[in-house]
Amino acid sequence: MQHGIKRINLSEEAKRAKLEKDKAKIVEYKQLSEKVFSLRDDEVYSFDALKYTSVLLKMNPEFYTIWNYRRDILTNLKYEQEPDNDYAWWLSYDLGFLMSLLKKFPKVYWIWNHRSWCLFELVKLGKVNWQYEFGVVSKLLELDSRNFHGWQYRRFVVENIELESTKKAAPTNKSDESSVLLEIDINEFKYTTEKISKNISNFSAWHNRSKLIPKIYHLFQALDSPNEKYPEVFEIFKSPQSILNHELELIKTGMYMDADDTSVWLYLYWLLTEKLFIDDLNKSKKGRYLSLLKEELHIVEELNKLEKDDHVENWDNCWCLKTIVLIKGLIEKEEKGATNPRDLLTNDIKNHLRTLIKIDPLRKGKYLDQLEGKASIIPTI
Amino acid sequence: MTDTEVEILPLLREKHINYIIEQDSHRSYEYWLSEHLRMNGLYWGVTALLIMKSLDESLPRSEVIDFVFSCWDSKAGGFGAFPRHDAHLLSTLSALQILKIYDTELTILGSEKREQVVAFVKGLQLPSGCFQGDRFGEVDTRFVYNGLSSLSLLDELTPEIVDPAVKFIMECQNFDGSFGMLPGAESHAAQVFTCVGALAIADKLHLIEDDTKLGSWLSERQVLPSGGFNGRPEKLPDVCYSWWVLSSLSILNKKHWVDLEKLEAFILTCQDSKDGGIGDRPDNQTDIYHTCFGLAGLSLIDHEKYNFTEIDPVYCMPTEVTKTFKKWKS
Amino acid sequence: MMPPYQRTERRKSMAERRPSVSYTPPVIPHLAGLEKPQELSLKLEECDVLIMGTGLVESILAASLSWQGVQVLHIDNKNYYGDSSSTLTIEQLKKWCMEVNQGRMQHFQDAQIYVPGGKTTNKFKSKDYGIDLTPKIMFCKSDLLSLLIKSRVYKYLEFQSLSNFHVFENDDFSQKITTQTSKEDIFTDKSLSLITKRNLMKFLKFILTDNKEPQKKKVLQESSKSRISDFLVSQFSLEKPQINELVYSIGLCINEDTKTPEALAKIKRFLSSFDVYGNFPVMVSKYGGPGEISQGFCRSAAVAGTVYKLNTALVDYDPKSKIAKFNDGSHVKINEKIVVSPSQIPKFLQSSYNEITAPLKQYSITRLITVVRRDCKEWMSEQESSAIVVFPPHSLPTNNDQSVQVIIQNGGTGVCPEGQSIWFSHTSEQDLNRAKQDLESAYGKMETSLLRESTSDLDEAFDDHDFVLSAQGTPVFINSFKLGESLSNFVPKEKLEIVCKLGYVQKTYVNPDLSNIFHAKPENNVVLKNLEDAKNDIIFSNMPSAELSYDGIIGEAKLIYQKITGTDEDFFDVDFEDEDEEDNEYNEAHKVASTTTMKSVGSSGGIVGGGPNSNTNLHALSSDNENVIEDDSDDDHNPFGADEMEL
Repeated sequence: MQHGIKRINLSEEAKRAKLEKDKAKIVEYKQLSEKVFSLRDDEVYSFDALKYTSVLLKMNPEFYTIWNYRRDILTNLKYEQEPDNDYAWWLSYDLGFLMSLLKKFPKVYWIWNHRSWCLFELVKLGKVNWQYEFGVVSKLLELDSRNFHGWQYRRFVVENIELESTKKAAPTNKSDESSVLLEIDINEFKYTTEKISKNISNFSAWHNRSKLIPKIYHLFQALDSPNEKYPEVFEIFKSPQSILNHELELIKTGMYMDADDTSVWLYLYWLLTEKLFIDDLNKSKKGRYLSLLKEELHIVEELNKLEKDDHVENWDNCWCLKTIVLIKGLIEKEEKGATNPRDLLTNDIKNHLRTLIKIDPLRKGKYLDQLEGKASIIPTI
Repeated sequence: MTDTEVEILPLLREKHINYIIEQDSHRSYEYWLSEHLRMNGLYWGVTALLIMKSLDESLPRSEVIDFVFSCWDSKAGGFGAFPRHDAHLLSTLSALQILKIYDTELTILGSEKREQVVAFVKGLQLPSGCFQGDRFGEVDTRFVYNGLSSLSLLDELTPEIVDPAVKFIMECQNFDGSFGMLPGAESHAAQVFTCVGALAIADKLHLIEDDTKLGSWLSERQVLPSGGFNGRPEKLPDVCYSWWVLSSLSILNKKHWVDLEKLEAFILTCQDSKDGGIGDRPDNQTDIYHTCFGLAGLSLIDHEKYNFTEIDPVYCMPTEVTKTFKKWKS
Repeated sequence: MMPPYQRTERRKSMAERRPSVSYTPPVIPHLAGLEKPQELSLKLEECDVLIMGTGLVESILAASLSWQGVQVLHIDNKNYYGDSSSTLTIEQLKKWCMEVNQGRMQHFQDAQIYVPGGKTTNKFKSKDYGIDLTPKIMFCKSDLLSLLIKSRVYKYLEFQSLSNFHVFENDDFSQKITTQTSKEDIFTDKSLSLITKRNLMKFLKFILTDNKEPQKKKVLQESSKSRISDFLVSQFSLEKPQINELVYSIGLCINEDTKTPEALAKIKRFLSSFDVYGNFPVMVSKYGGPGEISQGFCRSAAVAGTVYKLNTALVDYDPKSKIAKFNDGSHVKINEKIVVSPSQIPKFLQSSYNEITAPLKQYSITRLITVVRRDCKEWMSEQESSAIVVFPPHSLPTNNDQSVQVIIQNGGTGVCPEGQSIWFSHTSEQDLNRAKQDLESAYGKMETSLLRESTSDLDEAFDDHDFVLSAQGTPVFINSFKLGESLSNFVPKEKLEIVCKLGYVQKTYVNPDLSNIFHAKPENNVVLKNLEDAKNDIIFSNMPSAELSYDGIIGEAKLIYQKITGTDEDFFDVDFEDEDEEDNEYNEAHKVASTTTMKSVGSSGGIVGGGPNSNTNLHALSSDNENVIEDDSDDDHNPFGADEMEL
């Protein structure tokens, strides 16, 4: 598959020239594939065979069959023949080999896959270095802060570091275990803050944050004396309300910086509708959630006013207005306890939906459904 | 943001047909490097030709079927991407889809292979409910879809398989209503297709309680000025999401939540007007993958307008084939 | 009195330091003059183009012509390369200053060099210094950098990043450039109000929008005549501190009259240079700037067949026979053109030159270069060795009309020993007395600030404003490297120790805003003037401009190139592709062999490593793909900056 590669329409002559030039490479590639396949068919598991797969995989890192063969070689090698380097050494060697490939092909699933396989083999041997992996993935994300594989791999490494750490913690002491996990998750939380600060559009970071927040909160709850070790973080996490306030402040800056940024608004929606926060708000004081909604509505309306002033035809800002509809819907629900989508539709909200049809025509169909009560304007669960 | 007239370029049907037929003829170095995708490539090519109603006259049936069987990996009991390549769930689903197109009863497979391939696919399911791609452990909601779809094609679904798989999928749903590749992973449009598609196959769509949220997330994938779909917030549009997003919306009965005309225009601007084929974005290199999903997108938008075969959003196969399936009822 | 100078030593340039094996054409022509200046008289009987002066523009021209198959003879009347943009040692500078004051360095005047103390108190090795006569910085997204890569000349050089830009305002330095230019810092800077953050972001978005976008186009057209500061106030409600930063430090504009389109282009130049090679906008070449780069191009030219000869001057030229005579008695037939650097004009051409330049407006650039015994690390990012300091108009006690721009480089850049730094400052103030006062005043401000920061007497220096209370109520020191306002009353007792101080004035016909380069016409640019009595065989080039970046350099080279060949379409139209591919394979093999070496990215630009964006087809095909799920490879930059990455 070709992605982001500009099309070059080669002339017939250029095509022929390229084919001519390719010939030698094709022959080499085919001969090498043939060689490796026959070794595989003969179930040869030798150091030489390993080297052949290296060369071939460098030419084509997506040749999954060869990765499979390489794994079979690695597990079946007679390491006693080369006493200096045992299985663990070769697995670590492969991690280096993979790194060199990832630099060139950071989005190839098969390379990432082989990397996790090597690591699990090292786990079996008790010789894995997750901290090093952590360094690797941090470096990768520094270079492409939204690489899908990179974030997934980071979560994978963190999970394993957690697993390893909890094994080390005293098995009987629940609080001890939470403390170990907390440290890891707090660092992850800070990492998302750092990524968001660099670029508020980094939805990958916002996403991770939404996963970390409940986790950290519950871990703090499980501690015997939560505020000792991480006082400043505990300030944020002492209650769902304090988390919410902290996050709303952060997201407010994001909204002001770029009112057209999808990530910011999606995260705000989560904050305003997450059960963890709502329950805590209403527990502390009746109507607290409602007044928070009204405060947020005010902030968004203020911003929308600024945006309107900037627009050549004085249009509302699309995301502001979508959010206004959502918050007004939530307020309606809180005040009237309405559950039927149709009952939430005040004239005011209907007007907003009609405006949205004009300023966001791509999604006209959705707004029409909402106007007719066929689709809800707020989350239904 | 003003409603401007959308210019819709003509569809270059003949050029695309030629482009697909010619795939095998230009044997550059890159072509040889893509053997590991050949079974998928064949499925994309066959599907694209089917959509354009020219499969039979363009590709000799026997050659296609021979190729598929030449990729049979008897050791594992599944299909590889190319002769001598290892069996993998990805290529196995493609192989089954191709065979099903030619033979809805799959008698062509023979009982022995059939048993083996069923065992192969079932054997890839893990206790978590997820499937791995092959014996080496890579897991991802892609493989759940592949597993369920394969077994559905073979009419071999059982509650023991479906229930844990569905549970796993639901663990992949995020606060934005959308789905990621694993529990905890960021939402991604292609992953939505695999999850929603798998739920549809498993007859469990009702588990998506708030389809407005998911539908909204999907509809927000359409961006201006191009009118194309992106795969995640704040990313660039790409033709292949025309399929992943629109099929998901279609399964949720929310196709009208996006501007189909603008999407149509976007797909058509990604055609190579000289050599045929479709690329990810205008003026970019074409390939069979984007050609297939671009055309599949057009079929979902309006198959009658282009005299296309109607496509089933759940299986990405013609409805005339999928209507013969015995659908799983939970 | 200056000490009698010995034979001036020549510093080795990067081109010489780097062995030629990294760049091996099938046949290596004699690198005449580069490794060893040619002493014998010229063996050449004829050539197509004679170029006099090995300055940056002339060197690029020589390389571009010879790669196109033109036989070039490239001479210089000095015994070193670089001409008016040379990189010199202190001893060479002493001699140079004397020659300036004797009137033997055309277009330079008022040179002063001050080396305090005698041999006992001021010990230094002249050869440890590489001081640029016209120091410059390179934006990561610029035509010169593209050309360095395309021409492979980057292989002869070494680059370092520069990310700190300081701006002086209200008698205080603030280092907000790294802070306010990126989204990050706007997001985290607590001193900015939400509204200001919003306005800044709107502006950043605006500036990065395509100029063809209708709404932006309209705004630009409407503001084409207005000053940039007025524009920023009326369109984006920005306030003075942000405006100063945007205009003078990010944009490096030199005065308040800068018009909106020019300033916007300059601000954009900075912003779009971010993240090309890493999180920094600018690079500097190691061991010296234009002097080093011109030698790199000379080397490339030599590889392509240019013949070099230093210490050589043209003494006569006969347009009829086309014979050029040199001071060593040799003569060569010139088939096409002669390019003459304005600092190397032979006597017989002087009156013609005076005549054609008479209608042109001349500009002065006043420079003050100081070598101090202090590494100024406080002003630089970690792992960097350079920084920029800008004094916007009216920020100095002298009430400067033009901004003063300063490049600071320390031992890490190889231009001076470790523990020292060179402050290269200049101004385009045309009143020379004022110019000198402005530069001295700026020097004084920097000196005070530096001493203030490095004071050990903290108790006296700090007060409550320098601390904030943390959540637990403990005071936290805000920023120990702040060039801080609360310290402004602190008067240091000591003085900075100076190794050498050098001042001079340079003249040029290039407008400081480069308008007569970008819109060159026979009425405004000497290159396009015709010398009819020499049958138009002779082309004069320009003296270096006041521009701090390398902008305009390629434009000038192309201008001359076009005048010689009739078109600039084939300017450096050379296919180095095959060589590059081999290189990649080599690198790849090399990388695999040494996968464990850790090397940080960023400190030196990616081009030092593997060669940027070298997308081979294989790469393109395999970089992302999968069956059902497509990964989104939708960014147009290289994923993970794969090519630049070293782990």
